[in-house]
Amino acid sequence: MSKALEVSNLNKSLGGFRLKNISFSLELGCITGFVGANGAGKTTTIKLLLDLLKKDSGQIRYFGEGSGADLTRVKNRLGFVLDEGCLYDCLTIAEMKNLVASAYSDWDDGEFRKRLRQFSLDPKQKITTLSRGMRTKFALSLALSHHADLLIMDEPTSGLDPLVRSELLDILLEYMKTGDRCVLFSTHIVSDLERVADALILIDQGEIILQEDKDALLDTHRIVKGDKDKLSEQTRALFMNLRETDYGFEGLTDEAEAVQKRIPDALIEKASIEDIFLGYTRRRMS
Amino acid sequence: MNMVFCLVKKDFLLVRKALPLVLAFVIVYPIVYAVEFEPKEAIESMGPVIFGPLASLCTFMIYHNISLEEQKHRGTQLLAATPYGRRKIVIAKYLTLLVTYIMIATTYVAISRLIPFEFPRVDWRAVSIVFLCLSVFLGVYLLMAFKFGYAKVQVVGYLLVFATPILISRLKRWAESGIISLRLMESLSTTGFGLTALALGALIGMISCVISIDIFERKDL
Repeated sequence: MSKALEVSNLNKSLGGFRLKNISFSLELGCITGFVGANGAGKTTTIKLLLDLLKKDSGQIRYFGEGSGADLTRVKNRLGFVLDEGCLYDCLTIAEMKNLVASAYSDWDDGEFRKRLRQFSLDPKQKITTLSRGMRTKFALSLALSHHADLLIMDEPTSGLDPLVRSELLDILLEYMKTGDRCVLFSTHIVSDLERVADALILIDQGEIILQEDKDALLDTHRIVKGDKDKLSEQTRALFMNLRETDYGFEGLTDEAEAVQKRIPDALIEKASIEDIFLGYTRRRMS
Repeated sequence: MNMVFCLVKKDFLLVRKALPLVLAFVIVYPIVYAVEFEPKEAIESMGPVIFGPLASLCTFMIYHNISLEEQKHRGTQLLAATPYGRRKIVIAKYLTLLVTYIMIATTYVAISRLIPFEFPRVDWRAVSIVFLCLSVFLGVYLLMAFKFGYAKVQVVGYLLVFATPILISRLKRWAESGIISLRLMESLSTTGFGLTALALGALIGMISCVISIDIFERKDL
């Protein structure tokens, strides 16, 4: 598969925060979940990708083009939804659309009208009257109406009710149907990713700690529960993190077979993305 | 150019409520002044004293309102991430101010032509000189705003707003007492000086715009 985006050794200092040697890549045809706790560096990374922040060092390559690529051409192939919305509240939907549409060489008004109908949005409506969910839908309509090859979204589902979140995820799946597109979807609501993501990137304290195919990650990680007295120095080393109570222990491992051999009566269950995310993050904290 | 036009249009849409009020002020203020002012025969020569601060204040008020809206909605972030890019955003801001000043000056000159009684009138040369002064002020102000962000420099703007009425009354008093020679101002209002002021104002605006582009291209948004 060809790459939509390659990031290598990206560094950025911002106030007291540092993004340290970030490297990852996005394959065309994949929805990649960008997961991290609040303040982990997701928004900073996305702002760097969108040229809203200036990198200290490192490389960002879109669609295989070199660092000297024409930024306007690249931006014409990018769609984005920003966390803060960044929409002019005092404009109507139609006025905001006209403003954004003028920037893109491949704007498709028919596609935009289709999205508005799909989301029951009225072009004459003022943006200030839109609910959080409607604003996200409108931002998504703007992002999807110029045939973008790469869609970058910063916490699009944050603050939305489950129904609207589910609708948005359906739209992403529909967007991906052509196969030659790619989505980077940042969130701290990891349950959203269970449904739509093909790959995951985990960021913590400004560092990428994991980039993996989602199914491979779910296949290799297990939650283990058992009696506390079965834990020893050797068995503890098999866990990424352990939570011990008076009654027993619960831990995440990527060495399930070894754990099974050493603690045969332990209960081994499939791990969720949330378990994996918490496991890796807590391991770094401890 | 179409893209820059759309960005300028956006700026005026952001202040569509404030713009008619500002233009109404440009009309009403000199009329009230003309009615109130004594002696009536001296009003005609007071044009530059009234028009200068009034046009500067009104142009600045429009810029201030646009900047507040931008600051509130952070729309510049969205636009900078689109193919508009940062360069066009800066150029559009300067053009918006130019168009604003032209609107204000046109309104003032038009109203001064229509008013049948004594009025503080200005000709195009006085408009050019005010344009030069405004270019110097806004040229520096916009540079600072692009460099440090509008929130940090708006205090300077507030000072200007509060100082304008004081400035007008002080200029009026100086003109009456002869500290400012209205004859000197009239003698400066030659065609040559007017054209030079216009060219110089445009040049300062362009230089400021080029530096602002350079600053904004490297800025974290």
